[in-house]
Amino acid sequence: MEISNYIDISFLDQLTEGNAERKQFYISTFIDEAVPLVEQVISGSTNGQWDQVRKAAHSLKPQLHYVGANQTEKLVSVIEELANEPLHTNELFIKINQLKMETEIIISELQKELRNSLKG
Amino acid sequence: MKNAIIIDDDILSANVLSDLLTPYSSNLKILEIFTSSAKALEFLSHHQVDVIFLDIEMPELNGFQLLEQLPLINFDIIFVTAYEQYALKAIKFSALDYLLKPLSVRELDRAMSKYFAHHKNPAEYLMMLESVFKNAKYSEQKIQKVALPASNGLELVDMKDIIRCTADRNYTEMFLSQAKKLIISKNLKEIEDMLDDRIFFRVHQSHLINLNFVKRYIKGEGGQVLMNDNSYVDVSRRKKEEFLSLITNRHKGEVIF
Repeated sequence: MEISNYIDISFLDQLTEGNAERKQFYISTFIDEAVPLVEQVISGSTNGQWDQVRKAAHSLKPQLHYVGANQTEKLVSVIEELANEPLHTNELFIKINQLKMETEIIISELQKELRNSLKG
Repeated sequence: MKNAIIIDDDILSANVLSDLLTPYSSNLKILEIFTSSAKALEFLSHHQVDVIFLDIEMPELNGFQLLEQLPLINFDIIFVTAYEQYALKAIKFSALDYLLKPLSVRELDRAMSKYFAHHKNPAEYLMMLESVFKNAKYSEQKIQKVALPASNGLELVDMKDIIRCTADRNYTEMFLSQAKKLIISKNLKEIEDMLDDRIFFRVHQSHLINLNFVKRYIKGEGGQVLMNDNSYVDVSRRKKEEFLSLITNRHKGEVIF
């Protein structure tokens, strides 16, 4: 089995206790919920709506936690914190770009998990 | 058997909570999960439940607003909140039950053991709730400007502009953003008491700093903090551990040593 640096679904495995349907529900829900939230972070930063950035980042945190995306969860915490006092917008833009890139990888890896789970 | 509902706009967290509660199913039955606080309010006006798991930060009605809309609160509440939310302090202060996000088995066991262990006196419970409403509102609307006695009268200062304060006998030197400086005729302890303790921390007998302006910590016996205005502030040996733990929790491992 391939080991990912971006996700660790052992929490979901324990939670769903081998119930493949339930695990698929969590992964699909994460994908459905995370994509618009990341879009809100990006659009908020483009329009200078830092409160929108902060709120979307805040909502993303527990969701990333449940799929074991710990590094990205830390990154989002920093974005939330910086958006609360947006004094260093350059740093924020860099971190938001990084978030966009990491989320794409996370979603691609979760889609792989989903496919494997459907096969299994 | 107690009947429960979960109210959380985050569908993932709501379902995680429902699944984590499975081991308690002999004592607790989850009737519904609501991701809309308005729909939950409608349900509560027609159904009797024993306990609700209530998220605080929600878009339509937040947890407190939802409770305020109800004519009668005749059920128990377990608040669900993130550790850094303003409301947590208010909830803890009022000794109410709460669950911290992100949810985990350990966190749930802690909260549920506490919940099942204490029988609540209804009158006392309502008083606790009243207290949490007041405290949360106070925290949320906490006055952001402080009136400080300066040499030429009262100076109204926005708390978020204060970078650091330094003791100067019975006076305090206050360094603000945009390189402004004020001399305040109050000692540092008095200033510390006036400011928000979630943001300001006394790193040294002579220094109080705004944690939002910390740029870097430099190792040493107590060490030093580099602030955003490029000033260096000493950290006392006694305060070092508390400061490092505070700053690490705020920035979750982002501090550069």
